[in-house]
Order: sequence, then structure tokens, then C-alpha cells
Amino acid sequence: MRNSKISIQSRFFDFGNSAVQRKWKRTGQAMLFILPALIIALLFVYYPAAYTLRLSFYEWDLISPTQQFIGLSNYVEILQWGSEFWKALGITLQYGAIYTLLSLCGGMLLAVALERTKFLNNFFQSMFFIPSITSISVVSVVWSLIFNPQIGPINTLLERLGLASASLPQWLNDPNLAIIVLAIIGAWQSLGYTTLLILGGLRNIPSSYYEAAAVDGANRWDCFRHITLPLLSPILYFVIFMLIINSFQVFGVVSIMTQGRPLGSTNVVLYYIYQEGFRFFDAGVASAASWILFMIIFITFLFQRKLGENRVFYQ
Amino acid sequence: MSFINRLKLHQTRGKRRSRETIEEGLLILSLGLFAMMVVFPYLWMVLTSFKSVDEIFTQNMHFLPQVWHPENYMEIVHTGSFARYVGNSAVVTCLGVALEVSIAVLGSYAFTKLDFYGKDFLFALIMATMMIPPQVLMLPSYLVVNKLGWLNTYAGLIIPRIGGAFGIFLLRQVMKTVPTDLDDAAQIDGAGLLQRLFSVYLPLCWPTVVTLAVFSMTGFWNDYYWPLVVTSTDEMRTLALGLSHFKSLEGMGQIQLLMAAATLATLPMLMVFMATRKTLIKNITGGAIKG
Repeated sequence: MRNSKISIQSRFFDFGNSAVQRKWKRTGQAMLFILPALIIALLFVYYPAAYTLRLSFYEWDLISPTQQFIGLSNYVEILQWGSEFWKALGITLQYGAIYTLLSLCGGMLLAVALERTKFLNNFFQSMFFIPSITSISVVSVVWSLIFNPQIGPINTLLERLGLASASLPQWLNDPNLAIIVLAIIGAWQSLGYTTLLILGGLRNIPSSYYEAAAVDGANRWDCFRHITLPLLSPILYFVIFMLIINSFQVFGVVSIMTQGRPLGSTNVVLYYIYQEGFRFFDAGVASAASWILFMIIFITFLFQRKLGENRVFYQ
Repeated sequence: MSFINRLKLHQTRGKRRSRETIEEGLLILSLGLFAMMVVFPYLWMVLTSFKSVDEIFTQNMHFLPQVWHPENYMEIVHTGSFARYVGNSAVVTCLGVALEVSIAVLGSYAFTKLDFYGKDFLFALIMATMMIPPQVLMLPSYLVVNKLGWLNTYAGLIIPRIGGAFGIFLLRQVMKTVPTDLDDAAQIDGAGLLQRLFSVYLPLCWPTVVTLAVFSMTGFWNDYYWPLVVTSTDEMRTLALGLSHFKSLEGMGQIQLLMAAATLATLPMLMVFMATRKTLIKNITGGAIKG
């Protein structure tokens, strides 16, 4: 009796010891597994982020050996009313509004259509997704040709339809139209992805809900408002915020198609930062603007989570 | 009486059915219209790539090339550094995908399977990188790459672009669903940690690994912004970046060559997508991928 007690006790301590040891051993193993991901995260995300924060308080031209501390001057310069940054932010929001609306509405329509019909369903799904796997460079050069005012198919068609050549829209050369054209191209590219995400959400709604509603005499609109929309809301919130966050990161189309022209009407925030950093060699202003942009994206992200918690329907 | 009732019922049913047919027809029509909108730019790109200069700049434009010029493709391959761009893109994409997928597989395995000190903190640390868009960090990332002496090198093009977070997140989601019984059985049979990864986890999570690989592949092949930041010499440009430099061909009136280059840049990813589209679409509509 006593013997067995002792042995249990010793085994218990033994166990405790080796559990700690084993956990340390596993920590070592785990480190080997996650070290590559960790190094890349630290070296190419966290360090640059911290370095950007530091640079945002300095004046530096990227070349000279000394960086001069100037406090908040960069932020003051950027946030002054009427500054280039505010203009760029306004243009980005304009882009974002059109882009998000088009992609969301188009995606919703296509997802509902794909859910309700069977004809060529897989074919359509693949087709809509192709722009998502196409390079932004290809998208840019091809759409440049399509919107080309002289030799593009759109204006050729408009001319054949009887529009006078003097009144043909100049698309990317028109300061009022250029950002809209870019937003349409962006929406075109993201449409397939939006559609598939919403389609996934629609397919997750149990059909028994609709059957129950039909028994209660609900019509189409009732079903949509009281079943589809609430149950789809988590996906819809996700899609909307994904599109908004994407729109803050628009860069490629601007860099390739317009370089911020005409008259600075497509100078979006990221292109503004790129210009400040790599064209005008103003590391301080570029870094401060980067941090402000990051904060905007971060707040959007927090907003999404907050909304997600409060308003979203959980099954 | 009952006959009349039945007749009425029959009529309303027929009406409802025909209304549904009309509705379905309209939905299919709108799908078709959108599909045309999606396809048209590609169609125009390919058709233009076979046209002659005269046919592009003519007043009297045709949809199809009047004379097909496949030799445009021979010409673009020999124009400037096109072949070099393709080679660079191939190297960057192959190595990048291999590294990105390996890092994600190893990382996600550790985070699912192993219980270790600092696990939650490290997981949060890696996941948080997804919130910071890489473009926001372009200037300091450039400075880091410069300090490492990696400007205009394959290392500079590949390593900083590897995002571990997305892959780890994605794979961990499916690895968690692998039944522990299977893992235990393999462990009793004496399989080590790595052996279990390759014989139990990878085969079961294969569709997600493929999805990750395709996403990674399109990411590396299509990327425009990162090569723009880290390369300054023509011989290190990737195809996606090189294409934007070929845009000057537009000014020289060689649009058919630019479109041939764009077609060639699109084809590999289109083929990869066609080969994997079922897995990919299932994964996206299944809600596995958000972001």
C-alpha cells in the first residue's frame, strides 16, 4: 500500500518534470518549423513598419548620411488643409466608392443568378474569375487600348452609332472621367472574386428556411429581406470591407495607365506616397503619409470587426 | 365544381412555372452579358495581337483581323529583353511558390500540432502582418533590401515577397479538421513528426495546398509593384513589370506587339487556373479563403 503510494507520487513528479521538458523540446522543434515565417515577418514587416514610424519624424533625402529630426513637421505638412495628401485621399475615396459599389452590386446580381440557374454554371463561375488571376500590367495595357479615344473599340463603336468625333469621350485623358474609368476597371477585375464569396454565402443558407417562409405565405421580397439579407450579412460585411481596404491600395493601374494624370485627377494616396519617396526623395513625408494611410486602413479594419460583432447574424 | 377548382389550380401552377422560366431566362441572359463584358478585353487583346499596324490604325475597323499575322509573336519574343523577362518571371515564380508553400506548410503544422511556449503570441504576431498592406511599407522595405545588398537580385525579388501569414492561416484551418485518431495511429506505428506531416497531413490537406500554391503562383507571376521597387536594371525585370515598359511600344504604334506580349503573359496563369479551377472555386465559395 505504502509502496504503491510512493511509486504513484514519484511517477507524478516524474511526469511533471518530463512534461515541462517535453514542452521545451517541442518549443525547440516548433521554432525550427516557424522560424522562416517569423524571420520574414520581423525583417520585412515589423522592422520596416517601425522604421517608417521613425522616418516620419525626420527629414531625409534617402542619400545623405544624416537624418534630421524635425518632430511633427512632416505630419503638419501633410495634414494642412488643401495639401496634396488630402487631394489624393479624396481621389482615393472617390475611386473606392465607385469601385466598391460596382463590384458589390455586380457580385450580388451574379451570385443570385448563379445560385438560381444551372445552365453553364461552372463555365460562368470560371469565366468571371479569370480577371482575378490576370496581372494588373496586362489589365492596364489592354484596357488602355480599349479606352483609347482614337483607335479603341469603344469610341469606334460610339462613332459608328453616330456620335460626332468632336464629342467623343476622351476617357483617360479627361480629368473628370479618368478616375471613374479606373474604378470600372478595378471593379471588373474584382468582380469574380466578390461573386464567388457571395455565392458561397448564399449556398450556406439552409433551404429549409425558405420552405418554412413559403408555408407562412412569405413572398420573394419578404424572403430576401428577412432570410437572405440577415444570413448573408457576415459575408456582405466582409466583402464590403475587403473592397474598401483594397481600394486604399490601388496603385498598379495608376502607375501604368495614367501616372496620376490628367491634371493630377488620378493621383491616389499610394501613388502620391510612391512619388514622394521614389521621385522627390522625401523619405519623411512619404513615411508620414504611409503611417496615416496605415492608420486609416487599421481603423477601417477595427470598424469591420466591431460591426461584425454587433450587427451580424450568427447561426 | 371540384373539376373547375382543379383546373384553376392547374392554370395558376402553369402560370407560375412559365414566370419562373422567364425569370431564369433573364438571369441567364444577365450572366451571359456579364460574361461577355469579362471576356471582351481578352478577346480584343488576342485579336489585336494578330492584326497588322495598318489594321489597328484604320478608320474602317474590323473585329476580326482581315489577314492573320502570327509572326507578331515571333517578333515580340525577339524584341528587347522579352525572353529575359519571361525567364526571370519563371525563376521568381518557381522558387517563390516553393518557398512560400513550404514555409506555410511547416508553420501551420507547428501551430496546429505542437503545444509550445509563446504559441499564441507568435501566432498573433505572424497573423497581424496580414493587416499591413505591403505597399504601405514600400520605402523602408526598399531600404532593407538595399542594406542586404539584394537590389536587382532574385533573392530581393523573392524573399521579402513571401507572406507566411496567409498560407499559415489557410492551412491551419484545414489541418485542424484532420482527425487526431489518424495522427495517433501513425504515432503508435512509430512515425516521427515530419513523417506524419508528409504521410498524414499533406495528403489530407492537398486541395488547400494546391489552392495556396495557385494563389502564390499568380501572386509572384503577376506582381507589378514589388519588382518595380527592387529592380532598376532591365535584365532583372519580370514579365509583369517589363510589360509596363513595353507600353512605350504603344507610342511607337506597335500595339499588336504589346498585345502579343500581354497574351503571352496571361497564358501560363490561365492554364494553371483551368487545370485547378474546380479545387480553387470550391475553396473560395466554401468560405475557406477570405482575404
